[in-house]
Amino acid sequence: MIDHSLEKTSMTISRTTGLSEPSGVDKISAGTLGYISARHRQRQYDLVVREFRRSGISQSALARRLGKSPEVISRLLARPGNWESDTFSELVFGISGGIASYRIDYPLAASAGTSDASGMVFISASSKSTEVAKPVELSDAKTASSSLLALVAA
Amino acid sequence: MSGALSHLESLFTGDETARTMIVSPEILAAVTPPFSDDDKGRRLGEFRAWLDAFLEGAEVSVAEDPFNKPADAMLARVAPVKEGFWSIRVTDPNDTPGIRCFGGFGGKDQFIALTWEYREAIQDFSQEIGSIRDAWTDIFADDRPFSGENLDDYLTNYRTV
Repeated sequence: MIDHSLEKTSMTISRTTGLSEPSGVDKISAGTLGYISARHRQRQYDLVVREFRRSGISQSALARRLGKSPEVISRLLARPGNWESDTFSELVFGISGGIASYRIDYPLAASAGTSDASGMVFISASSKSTEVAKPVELSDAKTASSSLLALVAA
Repeated sequence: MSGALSHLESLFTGDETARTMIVSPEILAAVTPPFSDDDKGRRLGEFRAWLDAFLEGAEVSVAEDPFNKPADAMLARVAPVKEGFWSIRVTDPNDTPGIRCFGGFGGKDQFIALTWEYREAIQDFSQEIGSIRDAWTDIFADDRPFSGENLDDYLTNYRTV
């Protein structure tokens, strides 16, 4: 563990995330859309991989269930991908008989100072045999800031 | 490399994160919004999403063999393995070569990222390894990256590929 060469210090911080809510007809930047899209892909991937792990089935068994080659299943489970909606649905159902349910949160509203925003777009899977994954919940929306702890070499 | 290292926080969850990511000023500058409205901005947005996913405890696919890793690996050891450096592999958007970010672990679920580059700009990987080695030594002197016996010592929520 490397800790003796680092020292935490405080910095003046901004409470904005640097991302802003869509407004009017202002174009959303490609960078912001890239971030949001990648985040969503990762959430889908997390859900599928954790469901797969809990299920205890093998990749080859899942491949047979879905009528796909083992190579395709291996590739799908290797990293977050820009899956078609049907692919995501088939994976979740094929793994555990689960179906995805959706909830939309408004994390950028939190950074703007409004209340009851809890984090992010979250997708869960519902299945009679597995526990539903829990979203990241923020008890205090104000903690969704971009504060930084500076680390300086001693 | 100059300036202090920073604890990166998730854009959406702040410091309520499952893992720790410490980044160099160069990386912090690259992944701090706003992201531009062009291909470069999209690639950097993807880069930041990778880092935030790590912070929030997301599943990470890991390749341990630098010479035999699938293109899909999200995190991979770099040679020579004994030096303890790893490559964060941002491979999206699909129509780009992606981004590589180099660093080492400070402990379990604690990553210290010091250098990064667009993949197409990396002509010689050994040169990149030399850069991360120099950057690490500049900051940590004789302290080397964390070295564990197996991946469980490095990460939770990982998948070997």
